[in-house]
Amino acid sequence: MLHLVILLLAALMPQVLSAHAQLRESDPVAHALLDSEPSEVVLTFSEPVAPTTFRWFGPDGEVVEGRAEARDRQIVVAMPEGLSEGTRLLSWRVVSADGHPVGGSLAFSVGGRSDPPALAESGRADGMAVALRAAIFVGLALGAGGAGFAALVLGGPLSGPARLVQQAGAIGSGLLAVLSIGVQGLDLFDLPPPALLTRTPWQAGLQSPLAWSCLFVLLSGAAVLLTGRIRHRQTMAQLAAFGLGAGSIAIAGHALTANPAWLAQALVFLHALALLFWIGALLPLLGLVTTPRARFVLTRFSTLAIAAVGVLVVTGANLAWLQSKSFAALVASDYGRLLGVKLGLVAMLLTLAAWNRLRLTPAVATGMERAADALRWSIRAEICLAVLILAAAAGFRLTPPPRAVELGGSGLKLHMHHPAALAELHLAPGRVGANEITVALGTMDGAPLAAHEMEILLSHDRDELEPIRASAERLGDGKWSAPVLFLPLAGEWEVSLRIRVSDFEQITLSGSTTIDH
Amino acid sequence: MSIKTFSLATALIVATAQSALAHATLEQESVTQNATEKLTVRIGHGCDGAPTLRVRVRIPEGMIAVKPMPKAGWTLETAVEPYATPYDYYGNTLTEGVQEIVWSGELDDAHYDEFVFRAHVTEIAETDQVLYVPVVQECADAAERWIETPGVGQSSDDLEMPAPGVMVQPAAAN
Repeated sequence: MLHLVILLLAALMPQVLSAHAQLRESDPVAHALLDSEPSEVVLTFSEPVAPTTFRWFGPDGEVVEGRAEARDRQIVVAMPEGLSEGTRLLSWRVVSADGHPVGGSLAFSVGGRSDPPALAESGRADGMAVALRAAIFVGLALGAGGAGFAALVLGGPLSGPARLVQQAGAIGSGLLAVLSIGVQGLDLFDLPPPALLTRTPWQAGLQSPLAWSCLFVLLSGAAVLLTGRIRHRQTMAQLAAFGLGAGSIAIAGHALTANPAWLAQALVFLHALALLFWIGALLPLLGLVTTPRARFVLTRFSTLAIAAVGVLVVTGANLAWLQSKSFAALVASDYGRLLGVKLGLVAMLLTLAAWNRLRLTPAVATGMERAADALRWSIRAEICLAVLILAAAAGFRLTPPPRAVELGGSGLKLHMHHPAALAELHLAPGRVGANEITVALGTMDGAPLAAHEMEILLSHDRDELEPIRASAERLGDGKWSAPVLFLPLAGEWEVSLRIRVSDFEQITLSGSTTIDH
Repeated sequence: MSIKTFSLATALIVATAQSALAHATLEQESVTQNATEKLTVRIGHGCDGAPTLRVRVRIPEGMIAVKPMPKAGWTLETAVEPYATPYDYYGNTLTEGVQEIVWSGELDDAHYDEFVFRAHVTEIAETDQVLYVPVVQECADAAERWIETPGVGQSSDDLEMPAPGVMVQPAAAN
């Protein structure tokens, strides 16, 4: 109500107006560390303003709409209840009396500093991506894994219901893989699901390594379907499907960025081969236990399964080592915990498998009465465990391996050009969270360019977040540094440098960069 | 319509009517080549409430033979610098002239004032283009710098601190 009165007064007394209200001061001060939560946040501007949008981003990922009211030149924002201790961010937007919107963000901490708040994904694209990946794994196990089993154990194609399931798995995994490209794009840009109807997430997803994985899945599925159509070289087609399916898992994911990447990818490939073989065998086995071929099939499978288990254990151990380099780091991280869950499930699976090999298989071989039934139940139990294991494996997408969390590395470098100047901006660590910025400013020849002032603006595609501004400090010799800035969101950020070169000359350099999680 | 929408609408209406007073601007909208023109810099406010203590105007390339108008209560200073190229001005060759004008005094934030100078617009100033005159207001601790010029694809409305400008018209045919 009051801001309406102010605006009406402003309309009556035009000479009171000035443009571009500026934030003069805030209480609490930006980046302050407070003992207790303030009852309200007061933003003081250079002139009366009307509040537009206010949003709080809490330390635990909470997103709360803010309530604000105008008091003369101040905006008073009520502190929301229930924000945890740590660093929180208020994204504010006001409109000055002459209609110009002004926005910004204010970050401060209560009780202690924490990882700066990251925007909660309104689209839950992360969860969707994991669910899709788990489903794709299941499809691959049925399709490519089944093909591997058929080629290595049966020596011929699957038949009957098992074959139908295999083909369904191949088709299903192909379709879901295509969908996962769009979902990957959703995740990259933090878009809600309806955005799948637009081009943006698909373009983004196609540029990620996941596109290759999708291609391999499609080729694997095609090979599976081909097996039914051709008369000769069926084994080759099956092995091709098998290899491509494992390749699709190796070509994307955390392993890509491990060091050395080729070793990690090779290990994942072997791991995936063994995994797909073993899990892909379960469903066909279920059907074959009661047939006359059971004895031969089970014996042959058991032999190969032992080799598969060996490969799984060896590659798995090496991969875990590559990703964390220390046992302590492994145990302490989310990655380690998920790995623990997966390993627990695998241990249970191994126990069942051992029971199969040592007890039930010989029992079936000698034709004991209820051995077949027991074996079928055991296999069903293994299938359930296998699905859980595949879900856990898909979940690794959500947990960065410890080596990624250690240190962001050298950060991001950005070159910015202008007819009159060149700037090289360095953003460390270049991820969501606290970042330090240094800028080297030079002329076109590379000699340092002296300037009076530099302001750095960072803005994100998402309209909800206001540009983050900071005044850089001159270090001399063309070098500038900005105080610590919190970037709350991953994705594409536009960086602008407003540089006052002389009293009467101001130039603006722009560039954009991608910030990772 | 909610109160918020209404007040925002009001703000926008007010804005379009009053935007001129919000920035430092030139009263004249256009100048003509080969003519001597009067240019008036209008200062509508100080630096976030602080009084303006100095108004500095930078003469752009293309304007020569600049003479500022003195102001009662204000000290007037000019900076004479060489021109980029010599100019022929009514039979005289000018190689240097006033390139910066500084008025020093005090203008309260609640008050408005105008700062006048006369300049000859030469043919160096391109026709049908805006000629920008950067203006800096200096206060005790801060400054308002109206020095930004739009780049390719931008307009002055996109800038936060746009420099005042005038459109250059071609010389009237004799």
